Amino acid sequence: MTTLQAHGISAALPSGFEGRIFQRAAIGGEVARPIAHFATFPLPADVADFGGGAVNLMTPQDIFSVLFEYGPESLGTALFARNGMPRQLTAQDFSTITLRRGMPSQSGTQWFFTENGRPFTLYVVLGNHGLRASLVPRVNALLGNVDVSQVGSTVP
Amino acid sequence: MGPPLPGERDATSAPDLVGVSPEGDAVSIGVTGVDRLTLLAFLSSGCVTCADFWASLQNPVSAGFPSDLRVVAVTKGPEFEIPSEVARRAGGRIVVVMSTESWGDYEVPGSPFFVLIDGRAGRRIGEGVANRADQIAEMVQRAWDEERPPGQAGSTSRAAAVGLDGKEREARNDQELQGVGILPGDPSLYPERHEDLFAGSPPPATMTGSGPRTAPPPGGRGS
Repeated sequence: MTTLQAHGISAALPSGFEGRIFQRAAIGGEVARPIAHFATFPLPADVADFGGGAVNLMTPQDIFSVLFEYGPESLGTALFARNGMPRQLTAQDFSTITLRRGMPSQSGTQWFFTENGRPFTLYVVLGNHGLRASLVPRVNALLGNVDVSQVGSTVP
Repeated sequence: MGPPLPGERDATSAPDLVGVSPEGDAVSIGVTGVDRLTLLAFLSSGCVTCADFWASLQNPVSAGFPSDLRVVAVTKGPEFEIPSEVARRAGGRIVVVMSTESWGDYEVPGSPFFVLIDGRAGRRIGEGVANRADQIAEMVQRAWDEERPPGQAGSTSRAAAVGLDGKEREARNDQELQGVGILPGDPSLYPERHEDLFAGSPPPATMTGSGPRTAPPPGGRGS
């Protein structure tokens, strides 16, 4: 099991998963935040924040997941009131309309939360909604191995 | 005698890759526990021979590699390489992992060096050096044929292995059909009966002779 770690995010990747933790170069006055991508298929060299350029490559058996950090101004807001990342999703959590990019047969789930003082959204896509019973346990195996430390929100 | 290898290592082990991208991203590439072949190209930004591979791997299919082969370039880490130079070589199209540890894991003697991994079997199935991309493509093709012969359960067809799948395969089929006079809309492409397969062309040898004919009379399609 390989461990990927950067920007205060670490993940011991289950077999078959790969990942990338990065922070885009800031453009203009924006502040770039850490992003983590995890997938069971080959991630292209350049994937958009929420999977553009990747989810279209998924087979029905594949999983794609994003952990996207927001700025400290989001702390304490209602959207990020949940304490801690969900690590035990169920098949009922996934919906074919919860997709950033609507792809046939895929389904997704999105959660906003705060963990260790850092506001995040978790977005997970399944390659085929009909296979969610077998795919969700694999998602949970990944999420159970993801840790977010207190540092990182403002540390490159 | 050198130091003993870790217990889990053997000559065919294929550890996943962990390192950084030329842009500084933390990157992990899974090469086992997946249903695909992965070619690891251990390259450096400075070696002369590597330059051709950096160029060829921009478009692996054009270089003769199977279309569903995953190609990953592995350089040494930023402590030995200049990331911006690696990024320039990769051109944004090649997935690159900068990882000195992976060079040690795969006991790479120098660059360029190539390792082919069967993700389903979880092991290396080929490795070696080459001067040209077509030599590596040939190694991949040979290994592919040996490991996954056509018809094997769960394997990909030989057409896919040689890069003929999807649109490429369709185009080649069309070309071959047109070559023997079968154009779009030809009735033989939409047979309702066995005889329809030979509509517009002489019947096959097995249907010639003086015996009873099963083909419909001219102008009719039978009952």
